Amino acid sequence: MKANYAIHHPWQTPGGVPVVLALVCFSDISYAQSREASMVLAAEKEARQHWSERTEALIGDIQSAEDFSYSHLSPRQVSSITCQYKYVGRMRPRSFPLDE
Amino acid sequence: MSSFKTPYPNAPITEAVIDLRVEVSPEVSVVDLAKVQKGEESSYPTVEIVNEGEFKLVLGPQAVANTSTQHVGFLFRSGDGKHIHQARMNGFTMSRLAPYPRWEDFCPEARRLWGIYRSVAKPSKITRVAVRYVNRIDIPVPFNDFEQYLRTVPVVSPDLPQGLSGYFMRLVMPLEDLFGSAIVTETLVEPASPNVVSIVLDIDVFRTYELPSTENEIWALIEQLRDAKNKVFEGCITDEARKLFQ
Repeated sequence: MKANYAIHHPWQTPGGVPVVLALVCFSDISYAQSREASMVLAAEKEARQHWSERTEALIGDIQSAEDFSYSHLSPRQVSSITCQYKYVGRMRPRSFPLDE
Repeated sequence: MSSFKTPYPNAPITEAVIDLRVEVSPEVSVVDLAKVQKGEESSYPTVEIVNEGEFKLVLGPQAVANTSTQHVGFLFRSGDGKHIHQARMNGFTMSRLAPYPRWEDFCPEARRLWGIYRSVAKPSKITRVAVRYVNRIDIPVPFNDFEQYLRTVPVVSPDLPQGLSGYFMRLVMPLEDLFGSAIVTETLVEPASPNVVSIVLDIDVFRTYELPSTENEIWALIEQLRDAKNKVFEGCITDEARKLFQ
């Protein structure tokens, strides 16, 4: 059994619009042109890939965490009694001897 | 005050860049940008097409990946290949490769070519102004510590092995007085020769808001960005490094 709040897809907004998770741009000619700038770009890509691979694992964890089953908790037990009232007629004042 | 002679006779600059990002006029197409070369054919005889690609991954109930490539501009190289300028739909970039002459030579050429680009692309708005310098510092081996030469380096706990076979460090620092930022990227790269360790120190100083619109103000800002870049560079190196550049 799943609780309703656990069924939503993690990559959707409440309106149901898919979320763009990754937007990676590349260019065949970067704004800087030197060999050293290319080396920096390559090192940056390597770092980004390293980060991305670890993020994928993290996203998997988040997704599996979202996919949990709802554990029902029983309500706390309370005691109760049942009673029934029966009409037996109008009440009358009891009479007591005045010397008592 | 530093006793070292600046500009350094052997400055480690491998590339200097002046970069202006813009929104071009809607009636200008990418083909129009080729006109930037008109009259410059002898100075910049080589033309290359600049393409830009995009990879988009949309995760939903079904993952969808899209790639697209778009022609965004042209790149022009000088006869010796040392001067390169780009005219793109999103901006203008001027690069000078090593050997770097002087700012006083580099900047006027960038300004001249920007003037041509501006007349062709008719940008309605400037969105980013940047000065970027890529430096390669060749540290002779053996040496004890990167801190002998650099003042901005990764800090490794003394409890860990102190040898580094590689590192990549990227710092983004706000420059409040300039309403801008500096991106300092530092990484170990393939050594230029067997007896050195090469480190690239890449400094990109830029502003993206409260940008000026007049020519004089734009180039005054570029001068300010260049001064800020120099401060960042000087702040990142030691006197031992300065000796290497004399």
